[in-house]
Amino acid sequence: MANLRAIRTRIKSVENTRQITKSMKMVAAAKLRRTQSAFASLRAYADRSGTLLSEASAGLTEIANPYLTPHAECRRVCYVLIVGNRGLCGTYNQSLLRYCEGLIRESGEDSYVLVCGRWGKDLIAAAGLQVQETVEVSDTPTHEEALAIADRLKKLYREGTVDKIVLVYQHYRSVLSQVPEQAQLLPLKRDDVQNAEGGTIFEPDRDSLLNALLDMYIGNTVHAVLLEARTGEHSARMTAMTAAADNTEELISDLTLELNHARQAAITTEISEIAGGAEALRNNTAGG
Amino acid sequence: MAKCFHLCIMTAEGTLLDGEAEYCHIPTAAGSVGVLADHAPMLCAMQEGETLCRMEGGEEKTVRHSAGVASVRNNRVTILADRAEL
Repeated sequence: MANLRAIRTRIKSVENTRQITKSMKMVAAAKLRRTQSAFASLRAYADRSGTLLSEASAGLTEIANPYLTPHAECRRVCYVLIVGNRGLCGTYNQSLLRYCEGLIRESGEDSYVLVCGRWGKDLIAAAGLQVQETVEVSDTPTHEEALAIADRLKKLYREGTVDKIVLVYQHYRSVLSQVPEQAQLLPLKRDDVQNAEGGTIFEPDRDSLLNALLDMYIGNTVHAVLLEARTGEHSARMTAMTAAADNTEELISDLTLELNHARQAAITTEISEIAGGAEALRNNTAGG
Repeated sequence: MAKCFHLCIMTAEGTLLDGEAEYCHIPTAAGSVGVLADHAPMLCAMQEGETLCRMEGGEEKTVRHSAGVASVRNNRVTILADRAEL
């Protein structure tokens, strides 16, 4: 009977786990939708400002902007590591950490690591990364948060603390697949400029306009990458939790089968005991 | 009725205003600029402030926004600001 009780307890605990994983999946799905719609509105805005930037810089060969000019020597690289806010999302965080470690080891330059996200302070420290700063980023990063981070990065670059800024994040391919990737934020790389459409009036002048547009561009890039990383995190968690919930189903059905076997065995034993007892009694009466 | 142009005010969180307008008044770093239909192509750096829009039919709207950029081209006015509200 002890065996029966043990199995029942086990089933109950697996059922609880199923409940938890199911709700985590729902939460991740809701957050994923929110992040995706934020991403869509940002994309329209970023595309438009990108078009304006190429319109404004059309035909210019030199633009005097601190973010476009590379530093003479690249001594220190800033890695912006965008990890998730929580675990339980498969290998999302670990694989990104491994990738970032690899990048730093390969480059051999001095590194300055800025971590965005709450995940694994201890693990990141144990990996031997030189974390100088940690920034909290919400599950659906707002434009304000992105601008604050962009301002911080621009300051680091402007003051010469670092000579290059690289964003390290999980590139979102699909709900099922995210790949670690790096993207250089500063110095900005200039795309090939399109032909100038003459006669445009610049208010107040072209330089301040370009500065405004470049600031906007940097902010948008940071926001887009943050949103992409969070989209990946939520979908990785959703996938992991779906798998976990499926596993609990399987486990419950196995355990139920085991429980039925045990119950059947107990009943059989009981019946044969009773039958045996009755037989013994009859023999006794017949002999006496 | 005055000739109209297309006016679109966008922020990172979404499009705030999208429609036909008769006139708009944009605060730039060098002073205010009024825009009517058939304005010459223009790009301007905006300052934080209020943009006054007279929509088609005469309805007036005031949009408060952060610093940003406005573009005027082919009777389309696009205002980009990190934050804006009606």
